[in-house]
Amino acid sequence: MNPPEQIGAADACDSVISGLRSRIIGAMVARQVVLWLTGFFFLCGVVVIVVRQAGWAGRPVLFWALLGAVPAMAVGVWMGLRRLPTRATVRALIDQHNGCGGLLVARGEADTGLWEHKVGSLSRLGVRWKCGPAVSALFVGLLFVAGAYAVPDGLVASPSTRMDVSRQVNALNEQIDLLEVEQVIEEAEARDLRERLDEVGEQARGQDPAKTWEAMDHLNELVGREADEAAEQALRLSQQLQEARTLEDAIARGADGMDPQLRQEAMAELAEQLEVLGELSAQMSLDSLDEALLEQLAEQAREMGLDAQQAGELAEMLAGQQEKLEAMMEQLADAGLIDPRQLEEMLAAGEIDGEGLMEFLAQQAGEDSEEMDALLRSCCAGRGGTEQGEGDTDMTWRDPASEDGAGFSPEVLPPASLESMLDSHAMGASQRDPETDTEASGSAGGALDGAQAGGGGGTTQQVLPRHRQAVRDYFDRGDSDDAPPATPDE
Amino acid sequence: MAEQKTTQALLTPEELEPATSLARRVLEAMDTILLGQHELHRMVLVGILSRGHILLEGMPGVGKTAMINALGQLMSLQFQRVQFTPDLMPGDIVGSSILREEDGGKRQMVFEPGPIFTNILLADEINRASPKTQSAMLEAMQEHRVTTLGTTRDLPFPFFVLASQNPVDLEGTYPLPEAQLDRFLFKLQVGQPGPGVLEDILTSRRRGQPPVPEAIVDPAGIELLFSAMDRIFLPRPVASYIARLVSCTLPTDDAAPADFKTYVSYGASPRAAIAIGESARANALIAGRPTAGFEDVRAVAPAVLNHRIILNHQARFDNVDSLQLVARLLDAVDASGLDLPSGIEVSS
Repeated sequence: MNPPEQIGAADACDSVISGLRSRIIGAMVARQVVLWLTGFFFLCGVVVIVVRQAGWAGRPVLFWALLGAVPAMAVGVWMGLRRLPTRATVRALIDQHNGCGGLLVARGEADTGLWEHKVGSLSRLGVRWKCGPAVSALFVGLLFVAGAYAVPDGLVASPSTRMDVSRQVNALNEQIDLLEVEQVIEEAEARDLRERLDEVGEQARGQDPAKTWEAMDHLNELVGREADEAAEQALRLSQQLQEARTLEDAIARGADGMDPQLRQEAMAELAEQLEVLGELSAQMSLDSLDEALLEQLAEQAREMGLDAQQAGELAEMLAGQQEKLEAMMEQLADAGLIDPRQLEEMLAAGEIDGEGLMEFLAQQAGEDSEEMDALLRSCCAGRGGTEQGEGDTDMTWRDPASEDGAGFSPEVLPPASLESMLDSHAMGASQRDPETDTEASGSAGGALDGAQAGGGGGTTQQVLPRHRQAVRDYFDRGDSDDAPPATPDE
Repeated sequence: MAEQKTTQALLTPEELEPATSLARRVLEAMDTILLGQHELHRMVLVGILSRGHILLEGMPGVGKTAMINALGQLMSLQFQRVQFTPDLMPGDIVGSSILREEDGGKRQMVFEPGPIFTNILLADEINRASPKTQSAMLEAMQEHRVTTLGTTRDLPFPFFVLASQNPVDLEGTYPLPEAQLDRFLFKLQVGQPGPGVLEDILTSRRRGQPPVPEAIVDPAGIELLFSAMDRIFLPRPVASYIARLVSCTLPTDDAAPADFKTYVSYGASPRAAIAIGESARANALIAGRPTAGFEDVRAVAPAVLNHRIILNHQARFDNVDSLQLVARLLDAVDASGLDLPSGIEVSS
């Protein structure tokens, strides 16, 4: 504050009074402004926390509340001016501090003209405001309101009003990103999914969690459906690739010794395979599998066959595409978008048996070989032949087993034995599941598996080919009557 | 609408100066007679100029009687001393009618005035007299007259009672009731002089006898002093300060300091406010000012208020006396009436 300063004589009394009054007003207004601002900041902080906890408004909207500081300051100014001291009071204050003996305060009531010399010079009084605590409180209020804005939503949101689904939203977002990167879904579709996901996350409320979970399930289902469709297409493409690669490999291995007619038929079959691949590539919008090139190769294979260089390039292109498909499926499986069994199926399908096929075709040379397509499918793992594979696949039990029943990991059956195809005739091939007669079907599971109501006899039981030998051995007692009966498992 | 300003004519310097000079001469003379008691002398002179009665409290031998005796001689006032004892009767003070035989053999009742018919009455050890005798002085102190056998007689002008009481050896005494205490303008403590003062007394006073004072103030001078006193101006802000001070001594007052609410049973009466106003005027007169100011009020307030504030038992337990409370009151009540909020203060 200003040090005491000797000014003029009693004639300057009015200026001294005015000056001191101004300083008092300034101090009181400043004090009130600080007090009201402090109160406002604390109130604003509480309101911000309550509003954010209730979820009535977001942080950007709440920033407008800070404009309330302006009316708070205005109220502070008004409150400070309300307690404005009168001039008479200030005069009394100056009289008291200067020891004027009542001569100064008597001016309004008596003629003190003859006693002005007794008043002497008036010292300028200073006004001291011990603002430390008030300013500290204002600073604390500022910190409080800043903290109210800065605290994360997860901490301030009430569990009864707000539901934290951020983990699920993030996981789903990652899945959408993956689908977009792998070109499973279009960019616009991915954006739409993200917007819907954000909306679900923002509107998640604890009062009605079912709605949120339903919405999340719906989005999960959408994303999963896209992934499943992509996986199905990838499997189809992978199968087609496998068949084409097997045939191409067989043709390449038997290029020198193959019967010309058989070679021509194989080339025609390869051309058909390449055309199908081209169609699938077009459907899946694959950049790495050029549709035009495939069509050109198919035409050439059909007309004059592929030379060694072309065959090599084709094999390399098909193998590369297979690797890409496997990589995509691996990523989808890692993200939990597809069943890992689908990935295993695709990896197993990567095995080709071109040498076996070539030998088989060589033996069939000159005979009817119209069933080339069925043969190709028989050469693919997991597709089975007439005996659904070799039947000697080991069962691998998973550990630990669950209480509900021990599960075992499925394994893809190896390719069928081509020897069994020698005497077989293909009646047709279908990719659909076999039709079942639901009316004639017996009970499923347990000891009565396959038994029909109404007294089904033994003649109606279906005996699988793999069990026929065991049944035959059971009833064949020609050599020894006292031999123990064989169990079906033998 | 033009503001109508009514102003009062203050004493001019020429009018005030003789009265101030006279009062200061009396004060200086008292200081030379009784060494080391300047403040006491000033307050006694203020009390005399205020036409009030004074209660002096101090140990025996500190010069109370000598001071009052000297004051009477300096102001050419008649002085009487009464040693109050438990068997002192009211008639011994105010006087009594006695049967007197005249030359013709005729007998008639004649009033024999008591020692109260004087200008300055020193009631020595007033608390040793019975309440009956103490109350006989009530009318004299308030009305400046006495009534005996149905006849009222005025006391001489001016009339002052300067009573003394001993703060020790209180066995067999009758403490003055509050009603009588309220009639004393001041209650002054007569303290022990310091070693330096005692040394001066020993070296300059044979057998401790003070010099014989010469009269400084004659009746005209007394009239001059009193007329000047009547024209000392009490500004309204100062009157407001006095009113707030006295109001704050009441424990029931909202503005009373916390100490007064805790330790005070009864506060000061309106007579206290009047007493402060009058004595502030006298203080201003001695200071040579035509107006009573805030500092005059602060100077006389302890002497006026200390015997008018009735403390409760809590104050005795906490060793709080009325002078301490008055000092806190003067600190708590702002003279200007400026109600500054906490944290803001005016500094010179």
